[in-house]
Amino acid sequence: MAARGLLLKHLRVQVQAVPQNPSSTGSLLLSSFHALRRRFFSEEVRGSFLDKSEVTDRVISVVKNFQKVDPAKVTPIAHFQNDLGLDSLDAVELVMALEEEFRFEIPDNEADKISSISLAVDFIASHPQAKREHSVVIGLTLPWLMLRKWTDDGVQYLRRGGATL
Amino acid sequence: MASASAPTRSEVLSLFRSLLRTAREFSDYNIREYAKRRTVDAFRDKRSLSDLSAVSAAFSDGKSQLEVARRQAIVYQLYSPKVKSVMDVKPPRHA
Repeated sequence: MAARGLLLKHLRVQVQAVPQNPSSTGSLLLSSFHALRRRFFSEEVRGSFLDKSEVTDRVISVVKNFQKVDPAKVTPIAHFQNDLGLDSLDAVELVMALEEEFRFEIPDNEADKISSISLAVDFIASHPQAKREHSVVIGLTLPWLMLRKWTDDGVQYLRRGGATL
Repeated sequence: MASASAPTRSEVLSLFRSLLRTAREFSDYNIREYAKRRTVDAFRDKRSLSDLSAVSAAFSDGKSQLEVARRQAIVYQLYSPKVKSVMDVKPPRHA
């Protein structure tokens, strides 16, 4: 018993309190980083409204790519049924294609009301969850992920007490 | 046939939309595209039906197919292919 106690005492790891804020400049830097992170994160969750001209361009390109539509007839104010000669089934398909392009879900009652390009643009531009194009998203997200990695590394480094700030 | 009354226009469009939404959930490209194609073709095919009992029969058939599709979408998610279909790899749009 005595030998076991001695052994355990020998094996005990020395724990020292790590100072949370190594220095005042360090904490200032960190808090501003954290504020930035929170800001970016809330932006991400809340979503943001897309520019109307961008929405118009993307809606028009989706409509032009729809197989039953004559691309020459597509204008920013074209009506699906009257101008483009689409029926109600086509209109549903087109709205689904718009959902895929903007990566958000349009509820049924709203989708039923979308019967022209201008109505589609208005709805999408007023919807906070409509997403940017993939390439733009990657362009914005990648630097943000890198920044986050660096910040985390920095925090870890300071926590370990290796900082001489 | 249990339901005697004909479905309304918005009910039919809602069923169409639900089937297309469910079709999107299949992770395998071939099955996803098949489900979409099958939905669109069936609705186009039955578009000109005017007989009341034929319309409600087609509608309830569509509803049961929707249940099947929902169930299968879940089953296929459990056994989704590990490699993406080459058709799923999108070429850069502006290149």
